[in-house]
This record gives sequence, C-alpha cells and structure tokens, in this order.
Amino acid sequence: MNGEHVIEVKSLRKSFGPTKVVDGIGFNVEKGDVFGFLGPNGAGKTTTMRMMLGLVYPDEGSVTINGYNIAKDFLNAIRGVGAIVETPRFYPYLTGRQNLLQIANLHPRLPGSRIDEVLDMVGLTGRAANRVGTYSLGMKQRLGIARALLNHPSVVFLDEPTNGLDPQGMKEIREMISQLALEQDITFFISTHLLHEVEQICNKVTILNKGRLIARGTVKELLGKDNELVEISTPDAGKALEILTGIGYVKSVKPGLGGLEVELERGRSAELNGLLVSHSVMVNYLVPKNQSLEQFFIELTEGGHQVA
Amino acid sequence: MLNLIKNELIKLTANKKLYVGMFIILGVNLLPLLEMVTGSLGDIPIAGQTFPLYMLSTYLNVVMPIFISVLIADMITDDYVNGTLTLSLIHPVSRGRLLAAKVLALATMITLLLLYSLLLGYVFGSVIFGWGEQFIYQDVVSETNYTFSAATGFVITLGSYAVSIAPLLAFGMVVLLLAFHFNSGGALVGTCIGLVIALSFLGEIAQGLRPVLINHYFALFKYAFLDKNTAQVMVAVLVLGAYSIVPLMLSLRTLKKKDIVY
Repeated sequence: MNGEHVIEVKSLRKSFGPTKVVDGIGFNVEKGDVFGFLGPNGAGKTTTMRMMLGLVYPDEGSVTINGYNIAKDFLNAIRGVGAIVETPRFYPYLTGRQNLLQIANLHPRLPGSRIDEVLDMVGLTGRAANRVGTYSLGMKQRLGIARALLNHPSVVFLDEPTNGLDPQGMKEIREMISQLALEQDITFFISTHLLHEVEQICNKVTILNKGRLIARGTVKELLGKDNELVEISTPDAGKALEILTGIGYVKSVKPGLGGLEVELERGRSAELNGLLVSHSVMVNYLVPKNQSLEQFFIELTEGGHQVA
Repeated sequence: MLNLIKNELIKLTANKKLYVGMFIILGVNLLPLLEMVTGSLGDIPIAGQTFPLYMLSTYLNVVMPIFISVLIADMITDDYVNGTLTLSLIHPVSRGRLLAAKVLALATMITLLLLYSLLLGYVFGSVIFGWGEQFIYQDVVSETNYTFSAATGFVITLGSYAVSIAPLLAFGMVVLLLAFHFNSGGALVGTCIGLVIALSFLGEIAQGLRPVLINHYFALFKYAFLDKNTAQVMVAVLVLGAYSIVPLMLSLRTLKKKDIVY
C-alpha cells in the first residue's frame, strides 16, 4: 500500500423517485486495499457499486477510478476494472468457456490463453465445455470470479463473492483474494454480508446504513478501540460490582452469564483481577471477550451512528 | 466493433429460439402443399421458380415480424432483465457501440433468415410443383400476371428478398425502441404481434393511412421489381428511412440515459 487512491468516491447521491437510496457518501480506496463494503439489506450498497461502475447515473457526486472520472472518461476508468455485480449472471445456453469468450472479445489485446489461466485459477477447467445452465451456484460463483479476473484488472469489485460456496470453496476464494491482493497488487472492493469474511480478508471497511456512511476505517481500528471487554466468572458478582463501580479504568460493568461483563481500558485486566482478589472476591476465570465486527456492525446500524 | 457483432451473433445462434423459428419457416413452406391437396390454390400459377416469391409475402407480413420481435426481445429486453447487459457495460465498450453492434447483428440475422427462406422456397417449390417452364407470378390482390424469363425471374426473386431487408429492419427499429420499455421479453413479443395485427386492420379500415403505415412497405419488392413504380419506391425509401432512423435515435438516447439496475 502506498497511499495512492485507486478509487475516489465523492458526495454520491441517488434517488429513485421519492426514495433517497444513497445520501452523500464519500470514501477513498488505496492501491492494494482489500476494502470491505458493509451494510444491511437496502442500505444502498449495490446502487453505490453500480454508480461506481457507471451503470447507474448519480444525481450528484463523482467517482474516479485509476485517476479517471467514470462519468467523463468511462472507457479509461473502466479499462482496468473487473467486477461481479450482485449474483454472477451468465448466458445459460453458452458454455463456461463461451461465456468467458464473450468478455475476452471486449478486450482485443487479451491473449486466448488467458481464458485457460482463469479457468484453472478457479478450478473449472474440466467443466469449461459444459453449458453454464448445468452449473451449480458455487460453480457459477467461481466462473464469475474467473470472469472478473479475465482482463488482468487492477481493481476488482466483488458482490458477495463467496455466496453459494461450500466451506472449502469459501476458504479457497478468500485465500485467492488475499493472495491476488498481495502478489498481483490487485485492489479489491468487496460488498458482503458475511462480517467474519471482512474480518478475515479486508484491511479496511466502510459501513453503510440507509444510504449514509456510518463508519469507516481499518478493520483493526474499528474493532480495536481503546477499551477491551472481559467476562468475569465469580460467585460474588454483587460484591464485585460494588468494588468495580467507581474505578477509573473501568468504563462499564453489567451482569453477565455467571458473573460480570466489564469494559475496561486496554491492558488493565490483570490489574482488575488483582483488585478483585485483594478484596477476597473469588474469580473462577477471566476471559477476554473480543468485540467482533458483527457486534460492532449491529451496534452501529441499530444505534443510528453517523461518521464523525 | 466486429468482436461486438460476433458476440451478438454467437448468442443468437446458440439460442434454441432461432432453430424453433427456422423450423416454423420450414413448416410454412409446406402450407401450399396442403392448399394444393385441398384445392384452395385455385388457378394461381405456382411453380418451383416462382414459389419463393409467393412465399415472400407470407414471410414479410407474418413470420418475419414475429421472428424479429423474438430476436429483439432476447437481445434487448431479456438481456437487460436477466442482468447480462451489465456484463458488456462494465468493460470498455460504449453504450452507443453496443447498440450499433446489436442492430448490425440483427440486420445480419434478417439477411441470413431471408436467404434460408429463399433456399427453402426453391427446394420445396421445385419438389412440390416442379420447376416450371416460365416465370409467371400472379399478384393475388390485383390478379395481375407478371411474366418473365427464368433468368430474369431468378434475378427479380433475389432482388425482392434483398430489398425486403429494408422494411424488416425498419420494423425491427420500432421493436427495438419498444424493447427498452418492457421488462418482459414475452410481453414485448405479444405486443408486437398485436401491433402487426392492428396495423393490418388499420390499413384495411382507413386506407388513407396506408402510406404512413410501416406494414404497407413490406410490399416494397412489388413496387421495385413488379410494378417498377419509381415514385412509390422513393416514398417507401423516405418512410422506411424515417421508421428506421427516428426509433434508432430514440433507442440510443434511451440506452445512454438508462440506469442499469438489473
């Protein structure tokens, strides 16, 4: 990552009739990022992605890809892009290879061997001669990824890339994304509802709700914060609660399953344990409880947070 | 551009609907055999060398308009609704070039289908009626007989099929414009069939309107090669030109402004 903005989105707005779908969002994606784009259904993710790809015209705002404005210089902006928008769509009466050939024909300088390369990458070489209508959902997903990679893109947009795949397939695709980002310096823009997927493969994330950006940053930043959460198992929960109330580094205490759930400043949990033991509170165990992106996501979307 | 046209032709030729349509054309060629058996052909002088020209009216007024509607429903409406139009538009292809490729692919298909119909006409006509000694074509409406040598008749037949590409393509441009406003290929085809029927009725009940109705110019080959009416041909060129260019420009404008949401 060198800080170069591969994608710049500024003040995008879009309404369909009276419904405001995207309401003034903006963010940047740097070269080499695996950028997670999260939001509940109806948040405006797909509309945003379609605007970024020049399929839907924004009412306001601009999108720049690789330095080219998508509205003013579409052909140059889209040249280095590969994408799956929503479910991968195909011509079911054409074979896998013929479907890829349809796209290869749009890139006259692409060598014919590239189709074999991408088919091999997604493990579909053996089924390339079969009609896509006979493919499983997982195979279509893999063929979609092959198609997105066909033109040697520098930026790849993926909408729910592991949807329909079995656990092994999911693992393979995630590994492939991480590998491509690292080895071929491909920037990925991934829209997904699988939050653990974002945790696993994305380095940055933007969260969208009701057409507005509610959080953005690195996954580490969003999850890390300054505090941590610990679960204390103790038979003296009442006494422990009294002791911890009013302690400066303890941010909140609430009853939990078999004890207490305590939010405290990061790195103070040993001190907390010592404090309880010194007051003769029996601590069975103290377990750090990581806040997953999922919890964070739910808190944000339910709480109506806005990006500062 | 050639690759874009190639893409469209690959899709069209891989689609079963094309072969169903070709089979229907084959079946239509057998109808005169049925009429011959039932005696409903009367005194119409049909022979192998004139059979394709007789069949041309049937193709132009019924078979081809429906076939063109089906092809365009696949190329535009279903392509959009199925989300496959998106595939081309997220690559370095302008919307104008994509539309141009689709129109040129349609023109190619119309040409090939007319050629197929012409060949079938000669084969079936010769087998059913024999080649015949002279080229005698009777206009069924005016009952005028046109007599030519076999060689001239062949040239006239070939020319008639060739000029018929123009009214069919003009009709295709009207369907093209409609196709951008439908969300179902089936509904588009149904509407186009209704349109063809409505235009025929309209031409019958309001004859003064005929010069501006597109189906009136499906008979362009008669004005050009049988009646040799230059004025009528010029009017046809103007009207068909308008029917081609105006809907094409409106289609281009529609596609360029359209939000691709599927």
